[in-house]
Amino acid sequence: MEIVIRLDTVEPPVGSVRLLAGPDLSYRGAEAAAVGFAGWLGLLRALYEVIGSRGDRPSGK
Amino acid sequence: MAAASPVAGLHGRAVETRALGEALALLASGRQAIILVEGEAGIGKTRLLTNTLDDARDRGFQVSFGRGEELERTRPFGVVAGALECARSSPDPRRAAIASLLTTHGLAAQGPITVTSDPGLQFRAVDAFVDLVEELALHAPLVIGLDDLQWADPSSLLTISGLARRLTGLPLALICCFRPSPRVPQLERAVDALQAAGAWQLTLRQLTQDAVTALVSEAVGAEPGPGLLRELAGAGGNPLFVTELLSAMRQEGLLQTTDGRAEVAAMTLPPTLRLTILRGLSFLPEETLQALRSASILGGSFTLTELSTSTARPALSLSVVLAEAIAAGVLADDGTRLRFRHDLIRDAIYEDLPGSVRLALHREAGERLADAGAPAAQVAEHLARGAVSGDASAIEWLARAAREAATRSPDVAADLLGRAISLMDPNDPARDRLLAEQAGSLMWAGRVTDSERACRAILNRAHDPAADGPARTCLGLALLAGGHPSDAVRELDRAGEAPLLTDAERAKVLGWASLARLWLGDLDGAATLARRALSAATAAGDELATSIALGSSSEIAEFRGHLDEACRLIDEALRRADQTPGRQGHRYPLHADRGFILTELDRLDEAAAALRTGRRICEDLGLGWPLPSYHMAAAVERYFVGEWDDAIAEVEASIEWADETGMRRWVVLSHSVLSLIKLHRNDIAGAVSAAETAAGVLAATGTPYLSQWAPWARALTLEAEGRPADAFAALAQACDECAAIGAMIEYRVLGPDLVRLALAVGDSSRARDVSVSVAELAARNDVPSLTGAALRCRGLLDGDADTLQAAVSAYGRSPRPLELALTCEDAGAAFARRGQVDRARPLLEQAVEIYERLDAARDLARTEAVLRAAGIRRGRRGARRRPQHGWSSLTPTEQTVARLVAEGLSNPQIGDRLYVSRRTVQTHLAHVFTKLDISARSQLAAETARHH
Repeated sequence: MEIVIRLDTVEPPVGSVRLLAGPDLSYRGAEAAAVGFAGWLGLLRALYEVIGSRGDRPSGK
Repeated sequence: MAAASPVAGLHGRAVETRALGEALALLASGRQAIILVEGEAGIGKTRLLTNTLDDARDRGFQVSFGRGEELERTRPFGVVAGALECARSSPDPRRAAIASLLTTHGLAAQGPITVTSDPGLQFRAVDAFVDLVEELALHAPLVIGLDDLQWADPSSLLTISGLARRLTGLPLALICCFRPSPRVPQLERAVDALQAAGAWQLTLRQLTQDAVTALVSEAVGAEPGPGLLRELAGAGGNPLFVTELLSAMRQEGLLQTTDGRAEVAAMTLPPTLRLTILRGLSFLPEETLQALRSASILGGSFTLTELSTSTARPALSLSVVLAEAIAAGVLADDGTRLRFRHDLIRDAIYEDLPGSVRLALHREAGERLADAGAPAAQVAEHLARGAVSGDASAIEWLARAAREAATRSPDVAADLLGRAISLMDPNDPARDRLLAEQAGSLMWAGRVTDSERACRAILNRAHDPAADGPARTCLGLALLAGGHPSDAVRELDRAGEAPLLTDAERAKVLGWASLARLWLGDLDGAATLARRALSAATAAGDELATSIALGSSSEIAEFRGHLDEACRLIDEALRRADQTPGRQGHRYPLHADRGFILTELDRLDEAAAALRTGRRICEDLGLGWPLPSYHMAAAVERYFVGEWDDAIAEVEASIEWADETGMRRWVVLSHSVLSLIKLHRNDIAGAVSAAETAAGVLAATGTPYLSQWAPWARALTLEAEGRPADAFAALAQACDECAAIGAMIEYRVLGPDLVRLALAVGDSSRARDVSVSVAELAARNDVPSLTGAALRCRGLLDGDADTLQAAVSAYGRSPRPLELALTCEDAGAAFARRGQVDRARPLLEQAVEIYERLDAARDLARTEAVLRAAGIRRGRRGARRRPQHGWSSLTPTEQTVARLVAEGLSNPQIGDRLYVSRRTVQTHLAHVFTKLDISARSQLAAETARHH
């Protein structure tokens, strides 16, 4: 995978996440949509979104 | 996330748990216990407190719990009101009454705060809380657990200090938890007060490796392996961090248990607790996270209604969304409020919001809460946090919240005004007026130095003319309160010339300026200003200003020795004060002045009644600062009337109030009274110490107002140390100062001793001058003890036993046993010197009898020596000195207090029965505990039963 994280501010982080190459190694390049985020929580959620896996339920539940 | 957080028991806190158990055991035996629990966030304070409160409930104790909230530090009495469940809807009328008191909007809500605003319902509210807790603790042992005191409002901290100090001997436990930071000055003062009251300090440190191992074992149900413990070492022994990390591992499915040992697969865990918490939260639905972000704006806890209002979303839909957070253990629902499971969870969410978003959310919440009619303090808090420089709306709300808070907590008002000012443009024309208001709040909050500094900051630069008068008046009063009357006079004089004052305000300033001159010893200047003040007040038709002017005039007349006129003026001042709105005229202790005047007139019963009335009015008005003067005046009255143990109790109450209010000026007289009593009771070291304290306070304030008792006490201790020449010099100087300022009235107490000492050092000229002055004072006033003083001086000067006998007769018509006994002794000695033993004997025996009753050992020994020298054998022997310890050492008042305690009465109830303040009862009780070597009311009840 190839993910680009662009930070406009660092703490808390604000910016966007783009998935350039997915798990299947397909290159998306300019087609990759940017997912904006704000805060560490937002960053995590953005990563889950672009990766397509977010562990809907904690395994301990 | 939190549902995955393992809930483990308390580990590694055996020492602290044992200490808290011992505290509860103390409670069971009827004694007080105070415990301070300090430690960083997440270290386990709340868990320890919760366990202790559960233990207390199991023992059948009453339990109350309250906590500080970061966003509610400006809600006066918020923490204690929450802990004691004081709500207007409470079925308990006592709690409902306190809630009503706290929701009363003060005078300030009707207009700007000025230096003459009601200085506070604060003392009244503190007393109400203390009374409630006392009643509860009299019923059954009571444990009050208070968490997160680092966020507590100043009024709650003041109340907590009051509970610790005033309720000794009751089965009351105060368990106070707080973080090492932030450590605001009010918390510092409260911690100091609690430590002074005997608090135990528990500091929660990081868990040991063994404790972490035990915690993890319980949480995961298996012994942790070395890899798992290595990963958890990053938590630094913080139990919350440990459990959050375990939660993260569980979420990732990284915990594996093999053969009873738990291990973790290789992973990189978030490096901080905050990121660990956020990572756990990231699994919640986006809508739930959004609601939690909005909720974090409201603080550590919130109601669904508040969240609904601040987000403009229906409560029902929010409840559905937040159900996920409750299920995950992020929030807990206590039936009324939703609370983040730990403040650190709320903090992690809040701090993860970008600054601009936080500002916007606060502003939005503030505006919506304002539209919904939320309390000004809550609206102001949000608008202030969402404000940028120059935000007029935030400034207005902060000022409004300050005015609402001013009557209950001037400290909070000053803080809110400070925040409003910090948002204002430095060139904003309204800024100076708000600064002057803030200075007024600081003054009434007892922060006299801060107030003075704030006023000077305004006045020492170009400022708004409208702020000049209020700021300068405030500065004058702050200087007066701080014991700098000379500077106060200068500032009040200038305040009187300030533009834009109303006629009534100007009349009041003139009245204050007159009083300041009086404090300075400038009686003529004070009289001139009092006349101008009275004229201006009459023209303005202002009762308050009239009352101030008449009060000053009355004191001037008293000092000059015109007692009937003084009495007439003070009665008129009081009549005017009664007519002022909200009885504002009683903010100055007029009844204390009346008490002094009546004492001078030998009307001691009426004096005691006046002091009781004044004190009661102060309590009703919630005024703390005049109370030291009432107790001081009561100490003087009790001293003259010969009830010296009661006088000591009043002295101690006045000193305690002075420490609490900062009005230390009043205690000069209190320490002097204490010195005189100790001297008469032959405790020379104690007398010297008290006299030095009085002199020290006097030197720090440097005013001749009510100050002559300090050198009087000092002179008599010097004489007792065998230094009559030094004693004479000290007393002569004090008398010269009285003469210089025209304070004739002081000749009453200084005169006879100065004549005696002058004759002892051979200065008959001085003795004659003083004798003449006392005679002039007596001629002006038809008062038996003044006539007695004049005759005694004359008799000593002439060595004339018959004149001294006449003095005895005069004193016999007054209610002043000590002065009567001293004169009997002088007369008896004079007759003995003339060889008239038959005339000497009854006089000396009368002196002995009074000295014995007063427990005046030093005077007694001296008179017995005179008897022996005259060859007189005493007839009937009176009771000897009271023992120092045990039941028979208790004075009649102390025995009465003990009996009423045994009947189950509270301190205020006992005070009502005995016509003394609850503080005086508290002092009597402290003496009883010391004499009987006990520390609980239950023990006292048993002792009382044994002796009745």
